Amino acid sequence: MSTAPLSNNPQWAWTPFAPGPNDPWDQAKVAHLHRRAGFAPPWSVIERDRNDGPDASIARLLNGEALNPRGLTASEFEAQAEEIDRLGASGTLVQLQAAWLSRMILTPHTLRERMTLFWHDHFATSNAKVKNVALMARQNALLRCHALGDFKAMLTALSHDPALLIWLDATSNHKAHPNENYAREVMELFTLGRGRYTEPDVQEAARALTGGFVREGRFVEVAAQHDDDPKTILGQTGRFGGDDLTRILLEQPACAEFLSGKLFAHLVSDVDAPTPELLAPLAIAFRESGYDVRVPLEMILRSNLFFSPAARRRKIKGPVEFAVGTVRALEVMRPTVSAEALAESCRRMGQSLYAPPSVAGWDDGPAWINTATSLARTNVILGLTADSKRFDAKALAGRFPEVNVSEFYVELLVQDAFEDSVRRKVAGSAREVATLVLTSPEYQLA
Amino acid sequence: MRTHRRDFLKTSLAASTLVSLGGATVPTFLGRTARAASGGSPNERILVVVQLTGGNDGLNTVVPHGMDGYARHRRALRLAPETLHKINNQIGLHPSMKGMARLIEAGNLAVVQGVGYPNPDRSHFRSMEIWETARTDPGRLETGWLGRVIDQQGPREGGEIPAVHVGGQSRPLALKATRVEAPSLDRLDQFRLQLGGAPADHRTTRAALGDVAKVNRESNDPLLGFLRRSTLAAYSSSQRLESLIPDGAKGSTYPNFELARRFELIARLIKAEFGTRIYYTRLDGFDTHANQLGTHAALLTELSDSLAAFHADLAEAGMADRVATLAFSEFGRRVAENASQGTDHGAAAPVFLVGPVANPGLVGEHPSLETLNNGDLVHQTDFRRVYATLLDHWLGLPSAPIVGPEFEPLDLFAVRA
Repeated sequence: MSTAPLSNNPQWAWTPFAPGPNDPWDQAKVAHLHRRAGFAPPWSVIERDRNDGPDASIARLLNGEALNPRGLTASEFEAQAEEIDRLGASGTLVQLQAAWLSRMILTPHTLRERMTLFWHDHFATSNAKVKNVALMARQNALLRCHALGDFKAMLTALSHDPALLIWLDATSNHKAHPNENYAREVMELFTLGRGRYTEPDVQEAARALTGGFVREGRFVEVAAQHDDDPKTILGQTGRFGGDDLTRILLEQPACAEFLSGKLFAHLVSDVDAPTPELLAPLAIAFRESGYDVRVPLEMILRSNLFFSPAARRRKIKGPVEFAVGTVRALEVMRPTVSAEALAESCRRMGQSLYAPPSVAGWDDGPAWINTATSLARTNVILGLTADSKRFDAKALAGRFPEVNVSEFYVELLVQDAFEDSVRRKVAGSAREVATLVLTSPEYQLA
Repeated sequence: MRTHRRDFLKTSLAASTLVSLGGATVPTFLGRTARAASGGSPNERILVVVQLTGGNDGLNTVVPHGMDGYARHRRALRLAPETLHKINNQIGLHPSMKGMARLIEAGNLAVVQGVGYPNPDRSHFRSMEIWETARTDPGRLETGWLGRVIDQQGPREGGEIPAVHVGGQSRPLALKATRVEAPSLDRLDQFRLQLGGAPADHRTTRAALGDVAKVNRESNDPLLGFLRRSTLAAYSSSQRLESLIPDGAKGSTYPNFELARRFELIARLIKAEFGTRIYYTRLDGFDTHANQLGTHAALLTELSDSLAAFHADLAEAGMADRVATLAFSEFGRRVAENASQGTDHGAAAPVFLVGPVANPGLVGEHPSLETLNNGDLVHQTDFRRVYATLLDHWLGLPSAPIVGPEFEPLDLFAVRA
């Protein structure tokens, strides 16, 4: 693999990728697209998308597939998933985690789930403090509803979300003592990023939020506790309330820049930070669209930059994408893995859904990897490949007799990431081959 | 540089297969009395760091009950003077900190008051970055202060792991080095590869797994290189640690806290002469914006009882004089409480040092409660002076290349390196 740096030519970077004789649309690019915008795909999807070309493949990710991996239509799947969500919402944390994991494994709309996970990380809320699985489930439904839509609607809804407000100690915002925590985090972590606001902005924003309370799991506004005197926030002065604060934050160019930077890091590279010039067209398009999340998403996924060597294998899979991608790519659907066991595996690999370590979410990239989590990844794979009832390595490869077994697992799981010297080490029975590829350092890369 | 790293990988792999800690017989510490008297030779000294994340309310930890401002700023959160563990007529420890009060009486705990840095930042993340990197310049966050210690030491003979993060969360920035990945460890059983099948096949499977990650030519891909090193380090740590099976016959002397369990694990590694000199762990939950009293008391009980049990365990093994334990938080909290019976992010706070200290009890003056900076305590001692002390006087490593030349060590240790 080469170490191509990020391009500094925004014009070229954001032009849609068009395959050519020297840069063909191949299995490696299809798998790259799915790893970033969905989950690692099964063989049939790689083959289909390779034949259909980038436009159709990207459109399917943006709009969702017609059928889910078990052949249910999107609406049949949704009805079933909502039933499972209801069970999760009235169960334990592990059951709620399992409900979401099963949605990710079976969804026909992988990009929506990946973005729901992205927003969960962005508005990181932990049940460790909220201690209310039903409220966590409600927040998750809210994130999913807006995941590919209007960021302004999402931020407005979240500013009234009981789980988030409990998490940020903003459940009783008295006029006499404005609580600064939510005001600070909404600027630092949700919209602007550090250095784009001042301490007085935080204090004034806290005043704008006074009167907001959470009572019995519901957000209420108590007019008598709202400080209605004028405030000055980010240069604007008025008798502002919470919705004004949201509007003011979204008017800042810093907001689109900050969010575009996060989308870029999520979809393109853990290694290189983009220059402001490279990011600018993305941020401008996002802001001019009125914060339609699909706009920067589609721009990234279609771009030259996204398919260039500078973006390939430049991310480390998070535990949930590692687990769900492995199950989807290996088609472990019947009998399925226990979603509760999978949730426990994800925890051991360092990611407990609904329990991010802090308001800043999970540290991704190299932070996912340490001795304990590396061994947990290897152990998850050893557990799966030893369970022949759920995963029969020989039978799966046998369905595609046109390629030999070791070639099959290399092409399915790591494609061009293996150097020849590594490829030569992958040998043995189908189960051994699958184990070696799935535990390789290359497979940990997205 | 490139050959250097490759050689290091080679030695650490060789060591992991050749140097085994050997089944049930964990090597015992020999000649402990002689060494205890001298504080141990510098290269046998161990540093344990406990990070109290979220921002510990220093004012309700080391409580200035005799200072006028305390009762004025703290109404709902005021701790009654008669409940405190008095250190002098002005200052006392929180009622939950009996264990640490006893450590002071026994001469093993120093409390450095008013520690912070100029232009304090109230963001958790930024302030943790500053403490963990010992850099206030945002452009220079590439390594942690202990990571630079690891880098400066270079690869260790025998492939010993220079530093270990104990805990399930992500590895702290403080341990981030440029060349070596410090492993994380939560429980010993996490370090067992679930190889399955017949034990005779385990060696072959283990070898095959390692072989795929072992590439003789250094990859020029930074992420893949990192993953290969991490994978190999994980497999070799696993092999070394598998032999340290918990001693089930002897009951634990530790209280039932997560932090205590981690200390117990650290003590077990230290007592087994695991060779690691730096241990790092975290206690989370200090971000007490609301209803602070109960939460804070529980956290300080966990800290104090766990530290006391750790010290007692090491003392019984004759090793307490070889271990220094530092506890710090990214900031203290505002002097004035908020309306939710909590406190918001503040600045300077005390840090704690357990070990063979020169002057047990309070070090330095309590910051003024009258002269505040924007509602916050003003720091008197830069935290990098505490780090410089640990480096120059404890680990015996020059502090200047690690924290900068301008930070003079404090007089904290009885015997200096």
